[in-house]
Amino acid sequence: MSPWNPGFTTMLAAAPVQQVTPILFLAFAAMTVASAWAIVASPNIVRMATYLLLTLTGVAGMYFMLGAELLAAVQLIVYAGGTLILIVFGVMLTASNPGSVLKPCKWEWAAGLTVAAAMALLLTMALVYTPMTWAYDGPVPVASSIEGYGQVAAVGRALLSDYLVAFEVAGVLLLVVMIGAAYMARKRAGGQSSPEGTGLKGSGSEQ
Amino acid sequence: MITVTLHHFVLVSFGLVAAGVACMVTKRNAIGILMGVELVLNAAALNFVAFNRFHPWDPAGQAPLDGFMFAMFIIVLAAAEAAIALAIILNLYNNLASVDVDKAREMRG
Amino acid sequence: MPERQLILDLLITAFLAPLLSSVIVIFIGKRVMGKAAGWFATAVMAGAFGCSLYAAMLWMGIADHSPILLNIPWIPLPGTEAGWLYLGAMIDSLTIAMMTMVTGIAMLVHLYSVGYMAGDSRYERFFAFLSLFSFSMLGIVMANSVIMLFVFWELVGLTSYLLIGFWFEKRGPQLACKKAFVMNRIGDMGFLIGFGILFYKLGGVLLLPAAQGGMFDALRQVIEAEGHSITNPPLWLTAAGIGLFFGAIGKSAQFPLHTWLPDAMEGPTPVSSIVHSATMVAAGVYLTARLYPILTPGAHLFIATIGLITLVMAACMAMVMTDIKRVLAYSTLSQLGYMILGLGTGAYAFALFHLITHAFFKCCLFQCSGSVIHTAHHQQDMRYYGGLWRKMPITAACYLVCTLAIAGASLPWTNLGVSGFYSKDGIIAGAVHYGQAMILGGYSFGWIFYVGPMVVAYMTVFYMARSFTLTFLGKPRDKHLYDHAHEAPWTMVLPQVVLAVMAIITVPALLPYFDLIVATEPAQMVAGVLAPVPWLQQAVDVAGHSVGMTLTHTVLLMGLGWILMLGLGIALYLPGMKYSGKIAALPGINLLYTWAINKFYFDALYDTVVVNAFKALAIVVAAWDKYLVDGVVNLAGLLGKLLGWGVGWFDNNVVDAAVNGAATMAQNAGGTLRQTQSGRLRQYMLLLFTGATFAAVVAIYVLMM
Repeated sequence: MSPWNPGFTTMLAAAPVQQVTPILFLAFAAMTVASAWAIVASPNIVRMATYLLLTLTGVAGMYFMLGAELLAAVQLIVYAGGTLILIVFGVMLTASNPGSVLKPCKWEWAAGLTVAAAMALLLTMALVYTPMTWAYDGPVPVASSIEGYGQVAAVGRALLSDYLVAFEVAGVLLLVVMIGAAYMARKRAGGQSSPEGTGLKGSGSEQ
Repeated sequence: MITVTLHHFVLVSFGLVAAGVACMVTKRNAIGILMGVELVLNAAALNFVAFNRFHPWDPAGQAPLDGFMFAMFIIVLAAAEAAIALAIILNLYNNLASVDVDKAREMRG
Repeated sequence: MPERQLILDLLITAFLAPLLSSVIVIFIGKRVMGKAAGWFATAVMAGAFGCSLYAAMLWMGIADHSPILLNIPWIPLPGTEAGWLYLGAMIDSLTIAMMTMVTGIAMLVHLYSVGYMAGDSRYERFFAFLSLFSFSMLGIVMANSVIMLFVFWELVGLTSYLLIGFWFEKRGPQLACKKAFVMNRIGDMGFLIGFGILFYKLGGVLLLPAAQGGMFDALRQVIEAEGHSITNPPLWLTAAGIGLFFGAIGKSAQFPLHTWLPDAMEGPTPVSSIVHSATMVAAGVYLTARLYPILTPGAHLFIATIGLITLVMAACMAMVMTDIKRVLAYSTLSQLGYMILGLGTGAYAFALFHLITHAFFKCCLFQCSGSVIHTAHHQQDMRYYGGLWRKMPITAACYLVCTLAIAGASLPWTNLGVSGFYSKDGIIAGAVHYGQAMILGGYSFGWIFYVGPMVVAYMTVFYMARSFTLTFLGKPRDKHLYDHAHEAPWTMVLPQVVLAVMAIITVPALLPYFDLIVATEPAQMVAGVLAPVPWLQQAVDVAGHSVGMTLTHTVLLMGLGWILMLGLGIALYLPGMKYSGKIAALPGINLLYTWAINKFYFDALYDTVVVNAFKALAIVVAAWDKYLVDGVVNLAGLLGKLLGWGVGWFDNNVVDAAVNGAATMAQNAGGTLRQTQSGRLRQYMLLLFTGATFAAVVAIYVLMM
């Protein structure tokens, strides 16, 4: 049945609860983690941005698999389509010599990977040794309790009732952030908004 | 077939955390560090959502939305934080003509 | 009675007047008075003499001759019976006699000094000292307690020191005044021992009068309480008597402590004339006389022996001296020996009478010699004199008169003679009786006590005649000296004449001195505290003083003896020292001569034994002080210094090290820690996550536990 059919939702509601298929999970997980590690490994900032996009997309997919469709959509719209673009803008504005590559030296790699490994190991061991028998393994319903409105309505209702304070505070926060970011990045009187006016050494010396 | 449970999702988030930490610690580009921060935030949000999905709930009542909302706010804050971070990075770039974090060494003992 | 009060007041005035004049002259003499200081002091002294003379006349007029007492409590003695030490006055006949004598002679000597010391740079000071000396002597005479007597005793010693050392620029007077004072002090040590014994036994009562409630009554009670009597006198009483007499030995220059008197001739002649002839040296005799009642037979023997030795020794030395003042000094020693011998043998009255007559003629003799010395520009050696009677007739006449007086001249086979005749022969008489009593008592050497004085009497005439002849008779031996000789000014001649007259007329018949003295004689010989001693009682019978004298004249031919010796002296020395030199070179006499001219080596003996001993002691003490005491002090200083070093080292190396170390540690810690603030963002991230990991480990462990 086509999705435009009003019975589609009902059909979906009546459909049996779906389990996450391992193959799909594996694909998205691999994409996510591989991209994440690719960010770490890559010295080129633009490639890092690309890998970040892939990571965000992978995470969105995993949200879908976890039944958080709105969140997945928000992730893709806001995160991948907003924040990432912002980052790319930053890359563009701070672009230096395209050939310049900023690489840390070997022992810095070693230190960083050691810390990361330690943290990962720690968390894994915590996970392994924590009995999670309470975890609910059953299926999760796809529809909400409100007939015909689905998850979005539930989330909206929750935002404005249970999570009202957080919602308002987030709004204020966003306002402050906007003003602050605008203020911090404003054009200065001495014409310092562009790198040519700083009077410092040229940017071709990094390695 | 293996049933995909909570552990798997949490392991993925662990992998993301490790990557984010490694990125933050090793990258010389300031924007690279910002990306590391984004990775960690994503890992945290994924963790929340995973736990939200596998949280025991009464089928008769409302499905749990706590972790979901948390992740939502994480995304909001990540966006805000990225904006501020980029403003800072632009300031840094304006002052130092470079985004090399190693060049920003003036505040040292 | 009013007369007694008047007498007391007069004598107190006479006593204090010289003190006042001395104080005035000391302070304003040089600046205000100038030469008038001498006249002022003489006038004050004349006033004092007038007071004492008037008091004496009053005293002779009243019937009650018990002592006039003035007791002023001075120092409280808590815990003793007496309660106080007293100052004040005790006036009896002896005091009156002594006062008139002392003030008279002091007045004449003041007058003499006006002439003698004229032109001296410290003229005024001399009169201040002289008046102070007179005051002190009067204090001794008037003392009512042993303590007051001792105070003025010391004062007399001090003023004689000042007077002897008056010309202190010269070495001779410097040494002489020290010697006089020190030897006086040695005598005073004995005095203090005797004084201490009495004080201990009596518990503080030290008043002199024998009549009422004084020292002698208290002593009598103590002795009777102890069970002693005349046949068994207490040893402490003898010791006290001898101790107190030791003071007299020092002051009156008796045998062991006699060497200072000849050296004291370094002082100006007026000083010699008053201090060393009439007054200070007589103070010892006076003390012994005042303490007569406490002397036991043992003490008497000691006193007589000392007097005898001094007597003989001094006469020997006087015979060979060539310095005129030395001759007179040894003559004084010898006459003092007579007086002490007289007191020791029981001839109390004659000894004191001799004191008074000796004062007159010896003072005159010194003044005559002073006139000669003054005119001879201080040349004192008689070998340069000769034939001066033509130039200085008055002085020569006075000297001759006094020579006769000291010789005891008398008309032979009669009882008429000059003053010295009565006094000296009385002493010899007493000595005869004492010696004979001793022989009778079993001591066969008793004859020495009267043979000695008699032989010395001849020697006295001889050496006085010798000095007279060498000075005034014969041919002038030094032409220059002879040409410049002239009679002394009237201020010096007048006192000489007055004294010469006094030397003649002080006979018992004419002047009341003897009667005054006799009036105070202790009621029975040695009877103040003990019952009378039989054989001393016989020595001189109080009622019959003339008995002894007749005995002497008859047996000893003194009447002729003196003429003989006088002629011998004159004849031998008329041509100068020629024949005497030949005689002195004879073998046996040569030895005696050498001994005598070296003063029997007493000075050398004392110098070696005493002075060098003290010098050695001084060196030891100085070395002790320098090496031991200073060493200890320096050691303490050194220890302090070492301590300082130690503390400094500690401070520098430990404390500072600690402080610096703390600072360095902080600096190093800071230096180390600040490497975490490298400014590198990635390092911060690294540390952040490392820390977070550890925190997580801890949290998880806690949770898991």
